[in-house]
Amino acid sequence: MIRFGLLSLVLGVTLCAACERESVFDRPISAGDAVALDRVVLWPLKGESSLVAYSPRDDRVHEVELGARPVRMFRHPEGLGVLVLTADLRLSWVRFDDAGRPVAPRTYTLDAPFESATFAPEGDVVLLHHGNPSTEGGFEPEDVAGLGGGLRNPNALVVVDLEADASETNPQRRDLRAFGSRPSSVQVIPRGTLAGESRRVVFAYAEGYVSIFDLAAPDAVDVVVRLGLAASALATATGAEVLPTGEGTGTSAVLRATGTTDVFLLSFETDGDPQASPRPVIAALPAGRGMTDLALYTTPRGPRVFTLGGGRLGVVDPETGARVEVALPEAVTRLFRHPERPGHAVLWSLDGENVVHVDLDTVETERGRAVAVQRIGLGARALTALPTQSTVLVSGVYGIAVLTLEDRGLSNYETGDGRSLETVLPSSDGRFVVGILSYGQYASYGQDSTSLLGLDLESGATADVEVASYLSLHALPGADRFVVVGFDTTGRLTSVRADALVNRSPGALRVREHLFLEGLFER
Amino acid sequence: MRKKSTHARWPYWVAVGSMLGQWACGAGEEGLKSGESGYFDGGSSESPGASDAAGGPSPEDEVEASALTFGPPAVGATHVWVPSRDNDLVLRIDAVTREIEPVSVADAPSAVVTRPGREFGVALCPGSDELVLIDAEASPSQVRFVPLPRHFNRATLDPSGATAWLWFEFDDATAGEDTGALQDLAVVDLETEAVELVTTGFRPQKPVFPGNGDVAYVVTDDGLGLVPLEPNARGERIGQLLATTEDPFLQAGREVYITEDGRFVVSRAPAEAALTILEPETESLRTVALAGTPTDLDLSFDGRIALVMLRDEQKVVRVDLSTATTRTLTLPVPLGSAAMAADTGRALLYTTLPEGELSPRIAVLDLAAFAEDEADDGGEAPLVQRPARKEIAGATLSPDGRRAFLLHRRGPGQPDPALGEDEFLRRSPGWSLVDLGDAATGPFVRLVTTPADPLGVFWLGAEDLAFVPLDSGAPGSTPDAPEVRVHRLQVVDLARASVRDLALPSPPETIGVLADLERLFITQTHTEGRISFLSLDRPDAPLETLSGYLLNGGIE
Repeated sequence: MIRFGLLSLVLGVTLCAACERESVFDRPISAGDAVALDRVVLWPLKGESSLVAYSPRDDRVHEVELGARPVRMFRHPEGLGVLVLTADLRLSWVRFDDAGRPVAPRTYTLDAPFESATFAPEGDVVLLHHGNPSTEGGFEPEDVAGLGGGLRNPNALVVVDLEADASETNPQRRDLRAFGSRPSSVQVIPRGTLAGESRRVVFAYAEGYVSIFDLAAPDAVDVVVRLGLAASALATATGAEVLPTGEGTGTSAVLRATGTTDVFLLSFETDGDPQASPRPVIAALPAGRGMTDLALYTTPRGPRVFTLGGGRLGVVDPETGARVEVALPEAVTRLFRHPERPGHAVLWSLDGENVVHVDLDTVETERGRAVAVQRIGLGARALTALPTQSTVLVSGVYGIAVLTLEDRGLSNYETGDGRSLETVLPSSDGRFVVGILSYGQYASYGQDSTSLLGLDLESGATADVEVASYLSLHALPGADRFVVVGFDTTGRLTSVRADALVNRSPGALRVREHLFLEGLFER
Repeated sequence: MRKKSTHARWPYWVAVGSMLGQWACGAGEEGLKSGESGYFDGGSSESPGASDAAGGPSPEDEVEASALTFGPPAVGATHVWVPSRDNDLVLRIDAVTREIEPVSVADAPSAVVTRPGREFGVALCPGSDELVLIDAEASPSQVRFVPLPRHFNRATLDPSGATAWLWFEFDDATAGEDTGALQDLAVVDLETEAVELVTTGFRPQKPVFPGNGDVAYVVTDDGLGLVPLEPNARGERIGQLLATTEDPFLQAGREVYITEDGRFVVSRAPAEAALTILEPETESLRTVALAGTPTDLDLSFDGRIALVMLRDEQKVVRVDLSTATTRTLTLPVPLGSAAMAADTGRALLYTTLPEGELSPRIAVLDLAAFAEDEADDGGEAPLVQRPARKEIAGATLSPDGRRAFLLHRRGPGQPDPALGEDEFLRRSPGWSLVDLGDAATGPFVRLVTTPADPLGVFWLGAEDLAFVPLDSGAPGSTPDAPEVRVHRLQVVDLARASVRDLALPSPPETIGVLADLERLFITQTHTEGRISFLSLDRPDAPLETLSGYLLNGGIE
């Protein structure tokens, strides 16, 4: 987070020397980090009781009144809205309409300053808990200090139905059973994919065990599954992936965990008591030492768990625990799959110049014949699936590569003059890439020589234009815009449409300054 | 065929102990039986290669010490039985479905023994000094508790499975453990639950039940104990103690060999230029003087001759056990070790000397020619020699005597072909399969260099298969340990001398087989317990692995 407060601007605006000034004019503006939603980008004003949002579609700044100073912010994973916890322990569900105008937020009253939130995949429910604190919006631990009294139950969480107004049962508090630890994270499995159609299974991950309950059975006691019984068993699950349903597998999820060389298969009955928490059967599957990534996929031979680590790809049959290892020609650590070609894995590693293609359908039997190395020619920093033709955007510090999975075709784009690429984002239609170019490998904040880069992936046309300052780059797919947030304590941004940038259309860039001062006199 | 007994044993926590035990027993009867019908119960180990393979406790082993403790497995008809000391359970693992039935027993079960081919077993629970009888053929499993009058830590069953025999193995004792049964043996009638204490010589070892006899042989530091299998009319078993040497000060610590039929008991002391032959039936004890101190001794399959190697004298001595007469032949080179084939009339001779002293080699000795040669002692042995490509740490013969497994020693440093063949071979871990061939072809040696240290061999004669587990040790445990620990199971097709590698998810501990199901199992070191099964009915079968024996008991 960049603390605007460090450079806080004391507004010495004197309306009338003889008049008594409003207190707002004496407080520094301390905006948090920008948070991008689908259509707007917004900032919490940490000293105020409001958010400031900018909608590029209508080029307007909106202020959202919260009633108390914000202390935590939780962005919906798909940018549908943002939950804001305020100092009065009220939770506001802030959303915007299609035009980017704020909708009157629903508010809910909490009994503790929950610092972490997990949205259900369907977006209608959020669980607030005391897991690893959210840093969205640039909030810090001291922002919640002293709130909610001195004593709290770290195993408590609340379930908020975001589609319903506050009521006696909304939010609904749930105290998990404690076994010497506390949830570090919480995950909600998509409705009906585990343990039956009506189930909405929740995993709460604590050191050494997982608590399981069903959002549809709010009164049922959670089921606790230990990930080891030995005194040294400190495995902590970090996430679950639902195993593709196949013959003999029922509905199962695979937990990846730290502190162990295993992954854990949790198999659920689909006809269990709907009023009780789902009770799984657990099996430990050998993942191999040093597992760095994992994928689940159903091959012609059945569901398989693919593990990556130690220069080997492990193929584990969850039904039998049988594990086949395939030696890899590269020391890759990450496994990427394009949603349109899930049977094609691209293995890569940070700053690696080669990727390894693996045919997941056949690697179990074909071994090395199903594995091929391809030189990318740049140190990969991230792989992003593009929606067009099963292509993958490989972004590095000094270049971009577009990899077509079908024929392994490769298009490379390199930066010149020693300039480096900061954030690189594709447009929602996958046709364009927008990024930030700067001198040196890592641009420093406020560096003057920062450019906004556009690339047309169809034509290969590129354009770049200097931006005055750069803090962060965001994509607002709902507004078909990209936004460069600049370094300015009063709020500065540049918005652009990718096609206009690449085509060098007049007025492609729209720069807005002093965003936080808009409406100041009305405040 | 022989049974050998000494006090040298491997502590159980050495993961490879059981396989080393089999390794050391060579083509011994126990190895054969385990290959045919089940789990190999660990035994003694004097193999010079064994210590190399075992190594010391590694950092990883230290970590595992805080893991759940599972005792050595036993084999029933359809299940593998594993004692879980920390949870007072015996876990019955279905070898096909891999489902686990936890059976509650008494405190801290350390050993479980099953009736051969049956789902009936006993669990010795030293924590409460009880023997727990588990009848898993009943539904549900029935459990009976038998209090023991003394503290024991080892158990076995007689061949019929009617009685359990318990003793205290001093080398397995833990700090502060009750050692009051150093001259006691308990016999438990599994039908009546009657327990009888039998006084023995000092430090009884695992009872041996020779042939179809009616007594158990118990090697002790005071001689050979004979304990009747059946009690007398008064319901008592009165033991008898026979010396295995005429010098009582050479009695303790002898290496004892017992023929299959129990007719002869051959023994030797470490630095004694002689061996003794005891006939328990007649109580006759004879001493055979030798020209030097034996470096190795083995008994023939039929239990009628002993072969003694005198490496320093460069001689091999054939001892007729019935007459105590000897024939001595001179060897062309100082071979110091021998293993006699089952009934092929041949013996494998080999050297474990460092390469600098004698180039590695094996030799096949024609025992028939040896016997028929009426020349005076000192004649040259009818040998066919073959070079081995690496120093030999030890050797064992397959149950049918047609093949031998050589465990090789390796030099320090990581093997790298770039260093040249000689240095690469010197540094590589490996083993060799020897086809002893026939008189016309002579032996053929196939060297297999391995990515990790071979721990021993598990012969499965009926299937013409052998299994070699590999483990490189934990990183940092030795200067040569690789950064990534390697553990595998090598499946050896004996007919083709071909090898298939299967990756093991964890370091191997114990191999066994459920013969009726044609499934091999291998337990592994894992904090929550791990066992893998291999179907033997198809050559490309993958390992099926079960991990976390008790995880499902931790759901609440």
